[in-house]
Amino acid sequence: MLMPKRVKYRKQQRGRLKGTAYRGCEVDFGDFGLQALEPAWITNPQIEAARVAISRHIKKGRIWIRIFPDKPYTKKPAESRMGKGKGPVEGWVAVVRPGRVLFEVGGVDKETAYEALRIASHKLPVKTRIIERRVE
Amino acid sequence: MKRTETITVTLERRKEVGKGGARKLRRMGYIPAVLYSRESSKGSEPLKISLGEVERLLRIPGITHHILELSIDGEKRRGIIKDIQRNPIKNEIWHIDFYEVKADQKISITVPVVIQGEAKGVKAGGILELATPELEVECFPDAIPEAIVVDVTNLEIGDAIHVRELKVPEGVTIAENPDEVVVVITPPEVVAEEAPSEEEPEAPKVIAKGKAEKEEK
Repeated sequence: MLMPKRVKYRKQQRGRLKGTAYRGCEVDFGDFGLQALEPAWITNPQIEAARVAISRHIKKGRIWIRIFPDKPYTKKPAESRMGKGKGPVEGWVAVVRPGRVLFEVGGVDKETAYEALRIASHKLPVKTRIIERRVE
Repeated sequence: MKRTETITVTLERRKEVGKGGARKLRRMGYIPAVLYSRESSKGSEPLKISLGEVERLLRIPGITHHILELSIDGEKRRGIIKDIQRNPIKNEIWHIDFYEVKADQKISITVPVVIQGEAKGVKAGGILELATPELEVECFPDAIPEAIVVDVTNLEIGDAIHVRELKVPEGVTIAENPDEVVVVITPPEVVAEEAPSEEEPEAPKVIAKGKAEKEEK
């Protein structure tokens, strides 16, 4: 599953999910993309589940994962009293703001790509829409 | 649309500047725009363009690679669309940058890459991947090519065409890294079912040593 190989600090502050994405909002690599319409933390198992769903459906073609879970989140152990410092790292998340393209698909026909991305959207904790590469 | 055809864009000068001014313009059915040129000492001219005009422009295929005739309050200038800012969710246009061009000054403009022929690798099951759909070229405004045509007929699976191998018309130079891949035929990806591993993934290495040691204490 996706996670950084090395990090500068083990734990991070949570931060806020205000505003929209201002980069990574266009389909840049493939022909079709899955765009988030809500802000969320997307965990590495969710990304993996969506990736597997796409690759099982399209069989051939290419997939691009446009997000990376580089933020550690922590959780205090069950039945532990408050205090005694921040809990251990529980997992990794990608911070996603509305507008961010999450996955891209290329080398397949439109129907297959739409269906693959639709299935993948059910694995994710955000509302999404499917977009195509902009031609101007 | 052929490059020889003239596209006229009607623009007006504006007094409204800043966030509030721009919002007011958008409410009135205009899009804020600016015009600037190589002579940066002049700064940019704040302009506005009606939403209908923008919609008409963007319906023209390849408009961002085309020289336009800008009619600013009746004054005729030549320019290109340099940038379009959009709301990433609603797709509304927020702002347009126009760049003024002069016939004797070279400009840098993006030109689409057009694929010609069917690659041997694609017939054999490979995937044609257009890694660079647009290329930045430098040329005089009257010599802008309509497109950079790439013949892929002889490409096998694993073959690629780089920027340095492209043939461009005389007077046109490609302002990209010569080693950049333009088109590549990738082998079809076979989806291998990965067995879920029982092992816990290794925790990332902490590189800020002082901090990590302090935390562990």
